[in-house]
Parts: sequence; structure tokens; C-alpha cells
Amino acid sequence: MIIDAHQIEEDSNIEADVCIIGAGPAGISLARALVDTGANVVLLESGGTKVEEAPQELNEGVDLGTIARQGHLRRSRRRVVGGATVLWGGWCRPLDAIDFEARPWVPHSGWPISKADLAPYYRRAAAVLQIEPFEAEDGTKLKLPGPYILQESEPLVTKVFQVSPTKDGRFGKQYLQPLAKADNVRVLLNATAFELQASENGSTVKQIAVGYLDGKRISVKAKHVVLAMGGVENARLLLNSNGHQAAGLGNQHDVVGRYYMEHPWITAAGGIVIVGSPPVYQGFGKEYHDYRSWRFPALAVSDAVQRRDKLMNFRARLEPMPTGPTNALHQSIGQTAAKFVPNKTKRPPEYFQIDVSSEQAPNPDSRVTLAEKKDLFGMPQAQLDWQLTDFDNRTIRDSLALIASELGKWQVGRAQNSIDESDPWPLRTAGACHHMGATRMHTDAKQGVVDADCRVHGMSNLFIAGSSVFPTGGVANPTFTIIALSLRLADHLKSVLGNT
Amino acid sequence: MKRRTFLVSAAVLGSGAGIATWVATRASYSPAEQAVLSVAEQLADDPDVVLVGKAYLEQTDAETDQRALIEQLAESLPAVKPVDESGAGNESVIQQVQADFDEGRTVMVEGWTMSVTESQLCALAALLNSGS
Repeated sequence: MIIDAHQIEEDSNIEADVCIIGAGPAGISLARALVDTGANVVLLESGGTKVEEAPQELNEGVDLGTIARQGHLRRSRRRVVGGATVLWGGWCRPLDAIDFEARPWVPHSGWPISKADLAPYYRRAAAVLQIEPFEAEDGTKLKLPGPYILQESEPLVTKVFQVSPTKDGRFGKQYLQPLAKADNVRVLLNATAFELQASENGSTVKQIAVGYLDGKRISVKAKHVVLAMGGVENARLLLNSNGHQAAGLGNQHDVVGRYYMEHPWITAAGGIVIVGSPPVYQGFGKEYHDYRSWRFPALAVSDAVQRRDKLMNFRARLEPMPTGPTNALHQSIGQTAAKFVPNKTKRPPEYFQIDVSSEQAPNPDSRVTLAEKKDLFGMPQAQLDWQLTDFDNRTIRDSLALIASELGKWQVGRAQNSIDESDPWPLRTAGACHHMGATRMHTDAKQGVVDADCRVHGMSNLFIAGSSVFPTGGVANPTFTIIALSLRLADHLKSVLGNT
Repeated sequence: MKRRTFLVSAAVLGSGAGIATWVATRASYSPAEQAVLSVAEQLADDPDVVLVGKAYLEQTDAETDQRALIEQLAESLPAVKPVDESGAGNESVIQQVQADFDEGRTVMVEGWTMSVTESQLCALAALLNSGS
């Protein structure tokens, strides 16, 4: 059933077994997984079925940090069924096994679960996103068709990405109607949760304060509450839920909002010119379409090199430059390199722009806090202070240097690195709008907000879904992992519900 | 006009003393150094190589001396051979360029990672092209 909140009487109280706050990829996936349980589920969505101005106003906030990004909080998020998937390019890939490890050279790294724990959920998430499984049950890994380099080579490797057909807003549209038809699910649209009201000792969420844009207030009481509002909003709501706990719920150790991460993204971080054979670069800059899926490769640094050089995860996407660079010297570099390779190709030098994205180290000083300005529900806006470090930048610089070195060793071309220490984060640096880490997962309540089951430490009935629970972010786009974690949380909730 | 043709013409048209100096200088080079010079002379006819060589020279102070560059290159390219008229690539140069990458003997030119050997050859070609 779909209900617009304006149809509900003022001060109504809605009861449910499970209340999921947020109808983005996490919340929708979780609700779908609970359809067959018979549990009474309420799914709250702050927006409607279309992107409209008024709910977006609630995304306004204060953007601070290493890189000035005025308006990022509003631009990068959507209050609408489907959430940020309406902005999403559909890129899917699981995190790598190394991303889950506690790596001594990456401060605060390590998940309390492994990739193997998530493997079955990744397969189910692939079905949700209508893509091929990246790894079948028998261990067979997804590959790209045709000859191309670096299937399993070192020190550079290929990471395969798939593009989900549920991108561009289709995710929400596709999955809303089945939820609407489910007997046990009520979807409340234009219903904004602005405070979790807890028991006096802060151990249980008693009810959720919900507002409609016209100022009407209702409340929801649920046995179990799941925050699925997005990487920033999950932390914001916890911080604002300070009726009995001054620092906010789940924040007894001042961890909520900290360790905020993104994937730093630098367009034109470098260039590549290919002049020699064999065509080891084949496939990069290309996309493969078949009747099942749309795939593309990214150039990445192997696990072994990450360990050896104490780097984090990194990926590069090569964009063909058919007309070559405009800079005369850069053109001459390619022509010159062709004189120093043994098997020059018959084609003129081929140029690619390197766009890079890398992992960011968890950093307690990179954080979401509450701003002074309040929204129409009286909830302080989010203040986002995205702090990058030299380690984050070194990963990019050293990885680009590795690409350049390998191209030379392979005798096929040369590479350029436009990032140097004097200007480590040039203006063309951005985040990939992947908001991660602000309610991170850790077994120790002093180092994380949720435990391995995504339950908020110290709280009996509050859970979090979404990329805010990621302790580290790897270089995979987060949506695929968000959905896998939601399906895993659904299994946990089913077991909990079965015992109550 | 090809660089070599130009040099010969200049020699013919130049003063006797000039010819004598040029011949004497040339004769003082070891076979490897003469081979390096031969490779660089051919590269000096290529405007792309010259442009890269100039960019490299602009960012380095230590290697702007032609004689020093020739000596360094001859040391790193002991097996280099004079290029023939077909302009076929010199195998030892290509091997050394790869060895440079293998051993991390690289330099950055405008952000591009190049082998030291190829950069020095480009620099020498640029110096020859400018007549210094």
C-alpha cells in the first residue's frame, strides 16, 4: 500500500514490526526482502515518486573540507523513491577481499565481516540489480569478452564493472509497485523522519517523529527501526536524536559522523599514449554490451602492490582522445616514444585521458556534524567536513607512476601524471557522491557505530543500512555492496522477528 | 635539409680552420660516442624529438653540455651502432630504454615519465639542432 503522508491525520500513530526510514536502494531492497515474512513493515520516504523542489530543500547543508564543493550536499542527494539511484550511472562492482582486511598501513581499516560473508548476498544483489553475478557459487569469476590485457597480471590488474539497467531512476520505479501490492508493507511518501525518540537510558527507540511538508506531525512506533536514509542523513538523524542522550543516539563514544569517506575522483589526472604492439591496452576505454549486461574494465593496482607499496585501492578509467591532446609537447611525446619501442603500431599514437578514483583512508577528522541552521522541521542541517590526507593523494600519485612505469616496461607507450605534491587536489577533483563511513561498522563501540549485524551499539532495536556503515570504501561504487548488506540485514531481522 | 647534409655543406663552405676543428673534435670521440652522435643527428631532424629535448633541457641544469651528454649516453649505450641511411631503430637504444624503465631510471618531462636514455638522446638532438 502506498500512502501519501498528507492523507494521514495529524498526531496519528502508526505501528509496525519494522520501520525502514528511506526508500533508496538500501531501504527498498530491505523492504522487498521482508515481503514474504508476514512482518508488518512501514517504509518511510521523505520525498515522493518524482523529484520535487520542496523535499530537496531538506538536503541543504554546509559543505566544508579539503575541497570546496558549494552545494554538494544538495546536488549529490535526492529525496525521492529510489533515492540517489536517480543520479546513479549504474556502475556495479563488489568490494575486493583486501578491502575488508585490517591493513596495518591503512589506519582504522578492517571490517568485522569478510568478503566471503557477503558473497551469497552479492549474488542476490546482482539479481536485484539485474546484472550477472561477479562470482558464481563455484567460484567462476565474471570476465570481459575478447582479448584484452591484465586478466590476472601483476602489478596492474583489470577490474570489471557492470552497468545496471536499473540506473537513471528505474530502480525506484521498478520496485515501488511490487511493494505497494505487498499485504504487509505500507510505503509512506512525503514522510520525513526528523527525530528518533528513545527510552531514557537510550537503549531502545520508542517512536519516530515524522513530519509532512505542511507542518503536520505523526509518529511511528516499531519493534525494529532501520535507518536507510543515505550516508550523511543516517548520521544526521542520530546526532539530532538527542532527547535523552545529549550527543545523540549511538554516540556515547563520539564516533557518529566521524570517518566520513568518499571516493576522490580526479578527471584528467593524467594521460596515456600508446605507440607499440602488442596491444596490451586493448579493452580500456571500451565498453562491452551483450544481451545480458553492459560491462567495462578499469585499470587498477594489484593487491600485492598495495601491500608492497603501502597503498590503498585505486582504479583508472581510460577515456579515448580521438583527436589527441591540444598541447604540442604532449603530441610530440607520443611521436617521440614511437621511436623507442621495438614494435611500433601502424596506427598513429593513440591518446587516452586517465580519470582516477581511489580509496580514502578512514579519518576521524573527516566528519558529518550538525550545522546551526535548521530545516523546516527544526532539524539542524548537516555540516559536511570532507577531509582528505596526503596518504589519500599519495595513493593516486604512486598509482599513476606505476602505470607510467609499466607502460614503459611493456614497451607500448608512455603515461603522464598531472598530479603533483604542489597541487595535490586540483580544481577538477571531486567526490564521486559516494557518502560512506559516518556510522561505521566495528565490533568495538569505541571505534564504530554499528556492530557486524548493523545494529547500533548499545541499542536493542536500531539498525543502519547503507554505505554509512562501510568501515572502508575500496574503489567499487557502493550501491552493489549497499544492497548486499541490506539483504544480509534482512536475513538478520528475519531471525530476530522469528524469535519475537 | 638533413642535419648531416647541412653539416657537410657547412664544412665545405666554412673556413679551413673551422673544418679542421670539426674534424678534430669528431675524431676525438670514441666509436661508441660517434655512434651516439650518429643516432642523435638523425633524431635532430625530427621536430617532435627536438621539442621534447628542449623541454627536457629547460628543466635540467646538469645535462646541457653536449659533450657531457654524449659521454653519458655512450656509457649507458656501449653497444650502440651508428644508424644506417634507412633509419632503422637501433636495437641497443630500444633495449636500454626498456632497461631504464625496468630499473627505474626515469625522468618526468611535463608530467610524462620517460626513460633517462631517451630523454638524453632527445636533449642531445635538440642541442645539435640548435647548432650548439
